[in-house]
Amino acid sequence: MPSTKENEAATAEEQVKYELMLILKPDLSQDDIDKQLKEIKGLIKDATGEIYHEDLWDVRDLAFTIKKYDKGYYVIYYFTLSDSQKIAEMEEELLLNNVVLRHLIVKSPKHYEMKKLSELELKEGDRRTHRVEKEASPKKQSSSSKTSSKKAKKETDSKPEKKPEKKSEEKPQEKEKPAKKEEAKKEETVKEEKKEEKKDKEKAMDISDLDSELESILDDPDINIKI
Amino acid sequence: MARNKYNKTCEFCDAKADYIDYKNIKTLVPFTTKYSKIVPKYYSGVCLRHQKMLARAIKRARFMALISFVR
Repeated sequence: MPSTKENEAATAEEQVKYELMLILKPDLSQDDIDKQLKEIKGLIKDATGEIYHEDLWDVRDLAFTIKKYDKGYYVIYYFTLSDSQKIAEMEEELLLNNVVLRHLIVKSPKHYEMKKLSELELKEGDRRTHRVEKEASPKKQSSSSKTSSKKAKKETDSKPEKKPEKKSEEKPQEKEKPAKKEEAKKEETVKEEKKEEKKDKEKAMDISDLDSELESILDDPDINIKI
Repeated sequence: MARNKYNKTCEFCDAKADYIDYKNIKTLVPFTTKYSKIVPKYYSGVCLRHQKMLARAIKRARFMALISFVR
């Protein structure tokens, strides 16, 4: 697995900042993880590196499966090192380590601000796509809403508990979409629940059964949809 | 966020960014399409310098399974 490095020919005298991100297997016990991390810390120290910060992200969902794992234990080490030659040795060791699913060593800029995971991660209200379409025609909207519902179905396949709730949410949306162009533009970007709340505020619902359906959805505390 | 063909500004220039962090999923995801492709700079309005940084950051994030390659 290749890892990217910037400006290999950095001045050797200066202390260069690096960061090492690791994905470990998720099914390890805490003791095993501690043991592995000690080993890896040792690797960095052997390469005359000095760790100045470490960041444990805990077990996270991977965006795709790696070696049949769909979760991984993320660790990041920030360290300084003067001899860049030693990184190659370190990397070899990491590649041979079976517990490390993936690793990435990156040179970080001089004035690098470290941020917590909570600041980096996507949250509910965040923009997801960069939309540039000026005005989508109603036909397009309906088609895109269909695709989004298909997607949702696919996602729900993996999580069977949420299936019925999601489907019921999709229906009222599809009916209302042509009425609200602005909303439709953001349809993929904005979370479904939020949208419905907005609609509630902006205009009263025309159809009574839709109203009741929505209420039942909104009242349900179990709903916690992740796109 | 009125950003379209006729109204382009580079978000990263506005923020005077010198480096785009691959860990910062929040800033990377808006510059990918729903199929997780990198948005061309003629759509997003990002300048060339920052587009290159962005592309590198996205590719790193993909490698570390923070962002999917395809959807």
